[in-house]
Formats: sequence, C-alpha cells, structure tokens
Amino acid sequence: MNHAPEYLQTMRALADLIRDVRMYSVWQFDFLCDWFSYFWNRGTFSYVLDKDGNAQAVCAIKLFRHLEGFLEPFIHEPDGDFCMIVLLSGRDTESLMACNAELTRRFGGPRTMLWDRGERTENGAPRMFSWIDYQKLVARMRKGPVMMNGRSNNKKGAVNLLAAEVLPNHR
Amino acid sequence: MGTAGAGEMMSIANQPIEQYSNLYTTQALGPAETQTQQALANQAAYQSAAAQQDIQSRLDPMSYAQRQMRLQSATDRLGQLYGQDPTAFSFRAPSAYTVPGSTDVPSLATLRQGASDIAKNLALASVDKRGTNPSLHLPGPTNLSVPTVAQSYF
Repeated sequence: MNHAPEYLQTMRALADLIRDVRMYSVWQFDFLCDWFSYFWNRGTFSYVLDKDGNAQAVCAIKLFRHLEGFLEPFIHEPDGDFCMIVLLSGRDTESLMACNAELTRRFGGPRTMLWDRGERTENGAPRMFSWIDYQKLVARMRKGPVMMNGRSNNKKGAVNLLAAEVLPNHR
Repeated sequence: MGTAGAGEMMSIANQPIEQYSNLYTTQALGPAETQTQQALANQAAYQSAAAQQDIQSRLDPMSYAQRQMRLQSATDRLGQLYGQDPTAFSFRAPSAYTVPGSTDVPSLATLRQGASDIAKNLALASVDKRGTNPSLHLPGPTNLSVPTVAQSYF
C-alpha cells in the first residue's frame, strides 16, 4: 500500500514506541503502516514527538455504536457510545495525557471506554470503564505514579496503559 | 368525432368510480398485501442473519466460539458497569414474520359483491346511427354497500 511521505516519516519515528505494546511487538514496519493508516485517515490516531523528533506517545482509538463493534478491527462510527483504545504507548504521562486530550477534544464524550487486556484478559472481556470512571482514571494518571507501573512489557521504560490496573471495582 | 366525445364522457363520468374501486380494493387487500411483503422480507432477513452465523460457525468454529465468548464477557461486563442485567432485555415479535392467512382478508364473496356494487355505477355513452350526437347513460340509483375491510392493527 502506498502512503503519504509525511505519514511514513511519522510512522518511522513512532514504530519503536508502537512495538513496545506486546500485540505489535513483532509487526513489520510495512504492516504497521498499513494497519494504522486506517486510524490516521480517520483522525483517530494521535501522537507526540519531542523537539528532536523522538516519539513520546502514540494513541489510536476506534469508535463504534454497538458493543460488538469492539470485535471488528476496522470500524469507525464517531457518533457511537463506545470508544476502544487500540493502542496507547508513551514515554511519559504528560505526553500520554496530551494524546488523550487531543482525541477527547476531537471526538468528545461521554463514551464507554474499552481496551484489551492482552494476556491478562479474563474470559476474553476487554477492560471497560464508564466515562466518569475513565475520567477518574485519567485524573489519577495525571497525578502520577499509579498506572504507569503496570505489567508493561516495554524494554525502554515506556509506559503502557493497556497493561495497567488502577481502579477497584472492575475485572 | 361523435365516438371520441362519447369516450370522453364515459372516461370522465367513470373516473371517480374507478378511483373508488381502487380505494376499495386497497382498503380490502392492501393491509394483508403489505403485511405479506414485510413478513417475507423479515423472514429473508432472519434467514440471512442465521446463515451468516451458521457459515461463520461451520467454517471457523474456534474463531466463532472465541468471538462469542468475548462478546458474552463484554456484555456481562457492560451490564455490571451500569448495574443492569443484560439478560433482562430481549424482544420478540413473531407476528413480524407471519404471513396473513385467508381469515385476515375479506372473503371472496364479500369482495365480489363489493366490486359488482361499484361496477353497477359505471356510466355508458353512445352515439346515434351516424356516429354523432354522443350521449351519456347513467345507471339508476344504486345502494353502494360500505366496503368491508380487514381489521387494522393500528
């Protein structure tokens, strides 16, 4: 698949950070580009590069109307009540928060928030939060320490929300 | 010239009667006809959806099972999140698939009677031997029976 030069340039900067997430850890660059171009083209992709062009955070989401939408790899229903975080990886909390803020600004809320839990998945259910609880989670993340020490499998000190476990009262 | 005039007379005189006849037929048979079309469309939709699931389950049973399990778990989780029992919500409308039977439409005898009552009101026109002087012949007063229509759900 052909991609715009600026997209490829950005993806080159982001690839390592994306591969810090276990699911994408062995994906070849071409495949990463093809896959995330879907999100890029729909504005559901956000990232932060520092002044030297190094990747600090990257986030991709998918929006859908019906719960079963989370099973579809490619779905885009911005008026839906559900938002699944497909990818969230960052070097620091501030950058992650910037991604979160940008996507929230773009698509708004409230929505039920989901993300996959990888190997920690119980019965295949994604982690799921109401908008209010998700905002609490974000607020806690903003303050600092709690979520970032999840069982991230990154090797470079990157943080991975998808492996995090913060709030009580959820599976 | 005369025959054309006679034809025009008949056409204008009978137009409301024909419209009335159409309305009568639609009232009598329209609901059942629409219900039949909708029921068949719904049956087809159901069949198609079932076939899709059947195909997925047959061709890739493990993938299908995993998908269903994930969906079930996610549904349970969603219910838990908002304090609702997901199994408490279901909706069935068997009538949406039901094709109306003969009892749901007026009997043929009723329809025939109604149609012939209407037909008796049709006007005729004629011309003289030379084909001129067109004249209209209206039928005598006829007691139109009130059209019998099927009960509407609404």
